[in-house]
Amino acid sequence: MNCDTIDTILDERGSALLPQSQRQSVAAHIASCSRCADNWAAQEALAAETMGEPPADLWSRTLERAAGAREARAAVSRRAWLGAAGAAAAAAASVFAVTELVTTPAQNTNGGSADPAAAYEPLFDEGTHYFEVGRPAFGADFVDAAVGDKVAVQEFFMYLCFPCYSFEDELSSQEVNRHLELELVPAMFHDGARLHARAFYTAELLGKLDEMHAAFYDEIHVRGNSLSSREALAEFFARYGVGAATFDATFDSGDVDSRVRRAAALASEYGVTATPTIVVAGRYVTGPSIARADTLAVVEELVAAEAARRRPGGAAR
Amino acid sequence: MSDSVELGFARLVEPHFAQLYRAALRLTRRRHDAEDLVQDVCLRACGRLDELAGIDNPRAWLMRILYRLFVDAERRRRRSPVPFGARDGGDDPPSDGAGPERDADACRMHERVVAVWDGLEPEQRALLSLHAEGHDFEELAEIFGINRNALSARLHRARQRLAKLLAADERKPSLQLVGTKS
Repeated sequence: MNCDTIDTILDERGSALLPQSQRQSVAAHIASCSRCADNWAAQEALAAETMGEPPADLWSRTLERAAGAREARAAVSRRAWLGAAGAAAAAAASVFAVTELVTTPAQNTNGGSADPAAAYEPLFDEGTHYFEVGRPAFGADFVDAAVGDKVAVQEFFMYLCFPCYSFEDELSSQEVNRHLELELVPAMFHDGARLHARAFYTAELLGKLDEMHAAFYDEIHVRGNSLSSREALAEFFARYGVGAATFDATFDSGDVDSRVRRAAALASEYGVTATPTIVVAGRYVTGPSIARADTLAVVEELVAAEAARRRPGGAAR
Repeated sequence: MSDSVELGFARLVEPHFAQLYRAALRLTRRRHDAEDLVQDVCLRACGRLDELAGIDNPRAWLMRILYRLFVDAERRRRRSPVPFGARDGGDDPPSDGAGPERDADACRMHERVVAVWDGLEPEQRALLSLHAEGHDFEELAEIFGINRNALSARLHRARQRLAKLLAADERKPSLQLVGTKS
């Protein structure tokens, strides 16, 4: 019996299943090895705890909360995407029917009578949930490029930022995601973030971003590899089929330089001081540091407001 | 909630609800926090029932959300101006309503774990909790997104950290006076 065997038994939670002969060996080992004795005691402490069943009414309370949340989200979408007539009709319809309407705002005629912008009732306030800024000089190209029903949204992020990780995951699963054109802009608050910004644009230039973006987050936040050096990044890129020479040439290229400069100028222009920061249509700035838990709903409302504003007859927010 | 959503929710989430709650209670050590956490997991799942319906191991998927939400909340809590450890409410018993069968040793051991629990990193608490709740290595690797070797190394570090905290706690004079040293 040695320390590795003890670790294996602990990993497999096998202490209760050991035959008597092996128990004696374990006992002899941990009597003479304080490391294993402490580890054994720690695991036994956890194993001795029994967690109770959920309260009897927790499931029904959860169903009520889920129903409330779905309805609240549908209500925000209704206010945002539909006109007054459409909203009134949708209020009587099922959640699924509302979702169908929301997914095709361009086809919604609002009963032919309502002004889509006039029906819009904002839930969130400028100065409390978001800030309005001037039109950016550097980001205008992207903002202008988003046409039709798509609204330009720029997200300032850092791979080292855990809330960014969570936010993107959540945003991608929401209905609003279909109505926006997202540009990811790396924020560079410190040397590590500057390194990651170069890596981000390297992946973008090599056409690897779709494949690698989520993997960057997972590598840092799940696997605990902070990718804090150029060598670590080169090794990471190699896993995605990018050889050292290609990585070096792209990482040091003028194209990456200019994209990094644009990202820095954009962050400066919008006054980005925290991540994630979300800029909608180049006009509205929000994020968890401003809107806290309402951030996603604020983004949804701002995107919908901008879409409504662009429709014929739409008024300025 | 529409009938079809409620049915989907009942089919895909309810079978794992009790286990989610037990894991949440182990992670947070507070009944109200555990209820909030498990409800937050369910709300996330509610918005993604189609995705949940198409995956092989919904339990691991739900546990992964639980793990991420817990770690995210813990990091935010540590950055907040409210002093660390100043959460509302006291520590809850490990077993809700199962009092009579809990012996004194288990109770004492639980109190010791609770006393040092916040000294572990959130990821370590998550790993130890889900391991103690009986998830096998394959499922833990899926939940935490790491391979078996990395999982074993992290589990070992977490266990060792807990052991050190328990040993340090045991040496505190106040605990010795009330006879908790075994």
